[in-house]
Amino acid sequence: MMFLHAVYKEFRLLGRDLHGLAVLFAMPIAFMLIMSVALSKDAEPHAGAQIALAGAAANPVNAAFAHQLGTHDIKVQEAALADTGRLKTLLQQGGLDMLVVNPNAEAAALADDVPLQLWIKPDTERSWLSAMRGILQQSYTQTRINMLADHNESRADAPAGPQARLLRQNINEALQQTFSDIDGYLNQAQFEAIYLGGSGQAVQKPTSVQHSVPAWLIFGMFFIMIPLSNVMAMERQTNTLTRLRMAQASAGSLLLAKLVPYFLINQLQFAGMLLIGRYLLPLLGIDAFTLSGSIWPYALLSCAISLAALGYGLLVSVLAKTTEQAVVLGGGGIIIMAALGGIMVPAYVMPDSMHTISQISPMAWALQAFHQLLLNRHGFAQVQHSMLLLVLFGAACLLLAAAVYRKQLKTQVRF
Amino acid sequence: MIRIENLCHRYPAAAAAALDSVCLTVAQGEALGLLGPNGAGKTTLMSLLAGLQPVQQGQIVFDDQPLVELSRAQKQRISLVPQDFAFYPLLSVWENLCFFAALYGVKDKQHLRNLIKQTDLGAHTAKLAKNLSGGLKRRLNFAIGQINRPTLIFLDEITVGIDPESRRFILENVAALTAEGITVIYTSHYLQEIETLCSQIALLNHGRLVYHGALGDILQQGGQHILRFQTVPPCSPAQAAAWGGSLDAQGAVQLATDEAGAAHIWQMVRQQGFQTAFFQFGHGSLEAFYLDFLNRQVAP
Repeated sequence: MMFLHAVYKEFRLLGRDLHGLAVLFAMPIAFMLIMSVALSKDAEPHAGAQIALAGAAANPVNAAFAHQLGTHDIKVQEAALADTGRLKTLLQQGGLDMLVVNPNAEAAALADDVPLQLWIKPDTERSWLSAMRGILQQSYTQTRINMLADHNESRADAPAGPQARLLRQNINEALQQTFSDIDGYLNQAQFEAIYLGGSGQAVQKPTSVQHSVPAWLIFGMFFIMIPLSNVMAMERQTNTLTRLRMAQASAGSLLLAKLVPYFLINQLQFAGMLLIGRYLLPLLGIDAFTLSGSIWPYALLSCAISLAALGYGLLVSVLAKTTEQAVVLGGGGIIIMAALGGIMVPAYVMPDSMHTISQISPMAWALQAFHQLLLNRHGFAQVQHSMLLLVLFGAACLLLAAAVYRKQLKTQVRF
Repeated sequence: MIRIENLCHRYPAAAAAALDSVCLTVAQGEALGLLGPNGAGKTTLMSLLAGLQPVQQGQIVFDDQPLVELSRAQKQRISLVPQDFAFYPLLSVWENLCFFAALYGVKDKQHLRNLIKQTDLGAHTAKLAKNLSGGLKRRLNFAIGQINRPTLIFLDEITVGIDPESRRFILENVAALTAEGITVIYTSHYLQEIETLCSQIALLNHGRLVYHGALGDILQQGGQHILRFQTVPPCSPAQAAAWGGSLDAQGAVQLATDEAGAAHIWQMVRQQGFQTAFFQFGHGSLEAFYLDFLNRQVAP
């Protein structure tokens, strides 16, 4: 009897704990939907890729290579070597996914083949690049060997006299040489990946750390919401809010006073992650995380991300009535922003519709700006749009939070 | 002096008014005990007096100046010690005092040290507020309420759940406030505290001021005495009401009556088959007055 009552009591309590139920049901459903849609792209990663192939007009390999790539659903724009500069600019502007430059003037012997250059942006996703390299390798090798085979039609299988034996022996030796050339060719690097920096010059290949650290740093900075909402919920729960009101404190100054330390903590997070990346990771045998270019655009970006994170955190803090509610609303919101914004799932694997939706996430703006600075080595001018979006988002949230807080100072005070 | 003139207040969508034509005067340095059952309008009245809610109808005047016209500095001299521990649990005692002092623009650290001495928190200044005992938290709450050197202070159930020593400290401090000329508006479910501290009593019921007068008048009023007894077996609230009383927290019947009334009830209790575990009949008190008054009140 007692057991049944205890079970009944638990059901009643659970039924009245809406936040707990929200965590149990709403969050997994939201994630299931977002992640399912984000990962629903059936096509191969390279499908639909837009590349340019620049090479000598006299080299028949280029046309055959382009044709071969076309069979893999890759859109190839053929161009002359002289167009390489223009194509690099197009690549920088996002008009191309990759530029392939074939420096071989003609279909030379395999052993004399110079590796093709793959010009890519440093923020290119590694898994996409890997898939593309596989397709390029397969297509180019196939093209070259097909062409080689077309020129080796020598046969001598009719008469059996001494002259014919000598001829067969010569042909076999030539074939042996050809196979040896193919073997050597297959073992040599056919492509040389070159990363195109913001200044139009080749830059160093980004490390895996440079690819991953910005995403998790941004994710971490947005979690400033948790301690912020704890303090604000505590002020309401302990009725300290009434004391603040009785002291005639202005909502603006109280909020500003809250923002300053949390802003500094955000900056400390940023600096801390950079220092750990630079000094601790090498001790663990991992590539060091180093910034490229001037520190100032990063500092400004860090401020913009912090403003967005604090605006979001403050808005959640004033809207949530309890700490639990803040964690569910705010924490859930951050994870959804991260899922949408390319933090958890790279944006390139998302279907087009989802990719468009991902652009509404402040984390996507932050990540894009960070990659532009860190990987593509762009300057402030190229990231100011993303920064502006972050600042506007933060400012809008802050203004809304200030209005709500101002009202709360009048309405949520109690004896 | 605080003058409340014809104060009315109604919450949106509420059927009845929270306050209905309340008129009251509290002299400077006076301690007013505000009584009334739950929902009587005490909280609403205090919120309006503290300026936490706008006055809908009527007027509140502080020394001939309407409340709405008080300057920021004047409003800052109105203080509150709420029932909740309204401070930061993760700040130390000293840090809490310093923060609230800064909020009021009080720079005099000696004033803070005096408050610490006054509330006997000296040995605990470095402790985090969350680690204080219930009694020490009450003392800190009380100390914070005096940081702004108030001219009017609201004390709302400030001795709930504390040890006798802390209660004594706080009550002594409250008594000192009125001695310094600070107006005190005090609410508590411990009527004995109000009886000890307050010179004036205001009784609210259903949003109306049903009594306002000096405590001395109440205690001398009508030769009323308190009768308190415990029946065996315990009687129902309906039965207690039939005898003209009500059940207190211990399940004892309590009512105000005179000698003849007490003798009559004794007979009735016996006739109705009850034994009594105890049967006490004594002098009148604020508690007796309060209970008797409420029993006589009829809902509007």
